Amino acid sequence: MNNKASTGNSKAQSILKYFFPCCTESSFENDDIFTDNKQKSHTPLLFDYSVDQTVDRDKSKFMIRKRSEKLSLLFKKNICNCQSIKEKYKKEEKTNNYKLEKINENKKISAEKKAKLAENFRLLNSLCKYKKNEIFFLKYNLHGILCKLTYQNFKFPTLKTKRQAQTKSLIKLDEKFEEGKKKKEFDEKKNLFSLFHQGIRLDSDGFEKTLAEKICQYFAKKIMKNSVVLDGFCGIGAASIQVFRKKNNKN
Amino acid sequence: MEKDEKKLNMAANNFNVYKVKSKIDLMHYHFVESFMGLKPVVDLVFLYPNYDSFNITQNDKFCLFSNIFPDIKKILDAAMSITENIILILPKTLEIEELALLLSDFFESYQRFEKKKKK
Repeated sequence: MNNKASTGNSKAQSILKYFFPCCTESSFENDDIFTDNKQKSHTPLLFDYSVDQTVDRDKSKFMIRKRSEKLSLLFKKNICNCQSIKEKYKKEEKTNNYKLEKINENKKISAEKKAKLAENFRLLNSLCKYKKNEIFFLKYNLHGILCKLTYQNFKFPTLKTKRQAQTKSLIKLDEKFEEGKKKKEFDEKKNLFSLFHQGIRLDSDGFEKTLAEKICQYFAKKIMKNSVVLDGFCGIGAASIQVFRKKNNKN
Repeated sequence: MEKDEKKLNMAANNFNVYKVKSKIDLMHYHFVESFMGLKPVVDLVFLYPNYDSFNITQNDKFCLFSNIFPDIKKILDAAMSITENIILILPKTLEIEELALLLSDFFESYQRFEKKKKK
């Protein structure tokens, strides 16, 4: 198509469109400024529709690294302290009560916390039954004593298994995030066309720039019956559909 | 009326879905350059031109005279040559002074039209 630059504003338009090409391809035919041999097919990546996907992937990798570093530290701490505690309680099963008394003397603890501490010592005595290959993932409290136990029967973690175990938890979060995106897209498509999933076609321009369905119905009500309407710049035809959906109008 | 072939083919597909294609005639013309001297029989014109979305944000204001590829004056001149009944959709972020400049040209011609009637 022959879309020639008409007024003096065309240079400003052409410069802005070079950096922000959201327009259609037909508008860039007669821009002689930017047709060098080196840059024939150059388009900056700021507002391409495909770039948004790459940005999300880089962020996810960056976050995975941070979380993996934190989790690796926790593994190291807990495993070392776990093995030391086992050895103690194997030998000193009788002196558990003695240790409770020491802790209570140094700090004033409420009755609720004393009950929790007593339960934790009972659980530790039960750990002596398990074998050496079995590893425990533990969590510590500021008082230096267990508050929870979680049992995971796996080998000593190598690099491969660490990443697999860490990414599983993150993949679940990503799946939920993607499901939320899909709902947004599903709702946005229904706002444009009620019968979207029955065979309607779109472009990236059309998905962004078309009017919603209800707005077009608003204008369709105000148009008189049996009137001839001309829709310049129709595009996909969202407005003209709502006008002619009734039984009244002609071309 | 549309200038891109791809979007016309999409529109034809969409009209079949809603069962409206028999009522509509598709035209592959450019809106401004097609009506050179001719004058079709139309009651109303509906306009929603291509506002380039890269410069539209909630805080910034939208300049009519710079951001639209075929200028608004030519669009409105072509539309007024056909009919006086026009629907033109504008963005939210807009300077009212620029809109007044556009309509002032057409308002003068409307005053002369009334004077002729009285005479």
